[in-house]
Amino acid sequence: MAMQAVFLVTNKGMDLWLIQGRGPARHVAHFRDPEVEAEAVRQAALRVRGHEVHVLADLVEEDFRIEQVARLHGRDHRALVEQRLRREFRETPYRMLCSRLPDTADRRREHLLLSGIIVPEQVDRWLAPLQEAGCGVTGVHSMTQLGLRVLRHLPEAWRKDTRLIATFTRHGGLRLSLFHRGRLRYSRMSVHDAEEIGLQDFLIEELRRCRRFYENLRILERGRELHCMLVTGATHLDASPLQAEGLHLHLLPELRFGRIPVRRAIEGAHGDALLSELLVREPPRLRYASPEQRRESRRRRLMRLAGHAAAASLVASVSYAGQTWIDQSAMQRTLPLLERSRKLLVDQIRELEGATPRYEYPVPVMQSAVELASFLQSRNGMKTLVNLPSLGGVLERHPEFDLEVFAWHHAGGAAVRDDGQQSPISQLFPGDGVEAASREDTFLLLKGKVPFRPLQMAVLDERLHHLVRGLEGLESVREVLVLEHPFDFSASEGVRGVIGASTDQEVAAPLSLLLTWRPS
Amino acid sequence: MRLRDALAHFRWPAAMIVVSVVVFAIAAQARQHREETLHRLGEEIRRLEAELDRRVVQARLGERLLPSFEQLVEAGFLDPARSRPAWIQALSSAAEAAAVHRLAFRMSEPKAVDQADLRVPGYRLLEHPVFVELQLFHEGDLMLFLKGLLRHPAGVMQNRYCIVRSLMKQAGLSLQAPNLQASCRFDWYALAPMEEGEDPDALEEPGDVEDGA
Repeated sequence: MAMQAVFLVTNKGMDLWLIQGRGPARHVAHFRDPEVEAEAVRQAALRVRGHEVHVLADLVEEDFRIEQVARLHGRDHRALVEQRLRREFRETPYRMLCSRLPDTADRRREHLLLSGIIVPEQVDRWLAPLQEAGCGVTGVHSMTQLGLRVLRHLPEAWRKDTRLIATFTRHGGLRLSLFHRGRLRYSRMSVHDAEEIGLQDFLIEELRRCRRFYENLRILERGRELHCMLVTGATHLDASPLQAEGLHLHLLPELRFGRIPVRRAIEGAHGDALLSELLVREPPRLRYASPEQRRESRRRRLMRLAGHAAAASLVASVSYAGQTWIDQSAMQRTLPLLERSRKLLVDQIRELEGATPRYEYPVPVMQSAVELASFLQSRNGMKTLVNLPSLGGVLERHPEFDLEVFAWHHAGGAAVRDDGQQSPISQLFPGDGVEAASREDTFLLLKGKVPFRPLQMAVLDERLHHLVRGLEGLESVREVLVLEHPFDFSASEGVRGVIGASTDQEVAAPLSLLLTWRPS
Repeated sequence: MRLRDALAHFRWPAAMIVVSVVVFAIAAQARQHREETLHRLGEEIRRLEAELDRRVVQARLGERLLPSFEQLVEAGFLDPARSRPAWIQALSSAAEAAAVHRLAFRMSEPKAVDQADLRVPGYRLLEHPVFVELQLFHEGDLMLFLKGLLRHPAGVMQNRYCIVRSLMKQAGLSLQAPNLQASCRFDWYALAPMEEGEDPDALEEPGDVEDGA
């Protein structure tokens, strides 16, 4: 469990408190004089050197100043504050801005509450042996700021108004800090001497004095009721005589605090243990720090960041290594299985090689050759041959068509056009019939003459119509194109005849038909 | 100096980061090595599986194709010169069976067929044009002749065209003399192996090689 140390510096010496983990603060030592007990302080510091060390000061030498300044922002504001701090607390590095309060009378102005430990030696003489022992002190916390922490744990309704927070240390230091709406207005301290006056009377006297002081400072309205919360376990204290004067004292014997809240009760009159633990659990944002301490603070922050980064990287790499180790185990099991599969495949290939007969020709050649031969045989002309008898049947029903040439062509009509000069079939086509035929894969050409009498052309037309219809009706015929027609003057020499009852002579007209087949 | 001071302050985080990097590098190296081994083995297995599939397919295909292919070889599809007489014999037999009055044929030099879908690796397809002149008594004889030739062909062949002309214009129907004349072309196909580096289109100009009547 992590341990943290708190050195509480007061006007009567220094106390060492240790907080172990989530436990309460434990008082370890009290040192009266840094010069006389330097070695003891050094030894105590050596004990806590490796742990986080906090320094809390509660000194009468902590002084406060109220400055009325122009309301500025950003860099200008910081420069103004720095200038005022240098002016008001010239001799000490322990100085800071405690709070900013708006000026109710003038919106362009504001009040600054500055504080500083005007006798820095009161702190330095204690810090010197700590630093010699190697305790990196990053600053000095103020009891006033701790009072602000206490205030934040009180009910919101209570802390909204003007309130006093009182802390009492084991060496008699009574600090009374005035807050208005959660902001520090002022703080003053006095030391109780138990031999001179009892605690209750001292408290009553100090509350009266404090009220007068704040009224004189004009940060508290005269005659206004004032409530004070005293952090103490001395529940027997009675401040009822003050109630008639408008002063009310409340006691705070216990507090809940920390990220995971713990409840701490105060035993006795002073609240040092609780305040030390509160400092560790919820350190105040503001603290006194010399330039060296600021540097140390920055170094610590960097160290913490580097430590987190290093730890994260180590955790990540170790996790990755662990995951790799798990994966390696799985892969180690997979490897022999894959090896076995490979061997099995090699054996199967060898076995198949032994069982397969050796062919004279490679299988791809056999496959291509068989497919090619089958393709060529499929269009060898048998289809035309099979259809010829039915075609002959139609022609027999039309004996007037005197067939002279009967031709067919297979597999690539384009050949008819390409080598038209050599191909004897291309010479059979009248006119542009070759063009029509070249678009077909397979066609059949019928060429002949039709005898007719000019006075009976209608009869001829009807017969031709029947012939074409008969051919078109064949199952395999897709289309019948008439390439040469008796009445087509462009393809024949014209229609000739002599009109007369006894002179109607028969003439022959050319007829060419192109038949195309349906695809198989 | 400042760097040395900084390192002195941050020696533990730095040492932890160095250790992390080393651990990570070793783990990554080990993982990569093993993954590469597995990947190589996986690739080898995939290659062997593909090879096995290919061989099984080849074996089954060869078994199925062998009878058809042997018929083609016997018909001279892969050796045109040797089986040319068989083709002429088939022509003669068909003509005799169809009682063709007269038959004359002319076989030309082969020419290569250059069509992408008609290619066999390592071979080129040759087309032997055979021109046949027939004199017939009846058109039924022509059909008988063509059926005899095409139905059970000697080799792979195709009837490119036929032109049938009537001879009856001059002499009328005769029982003694032929009534029809037919001119037909048959393309006889064969595969010829290509020499190493040979251009598949390089062939001599076609010319007549054989005539018969």
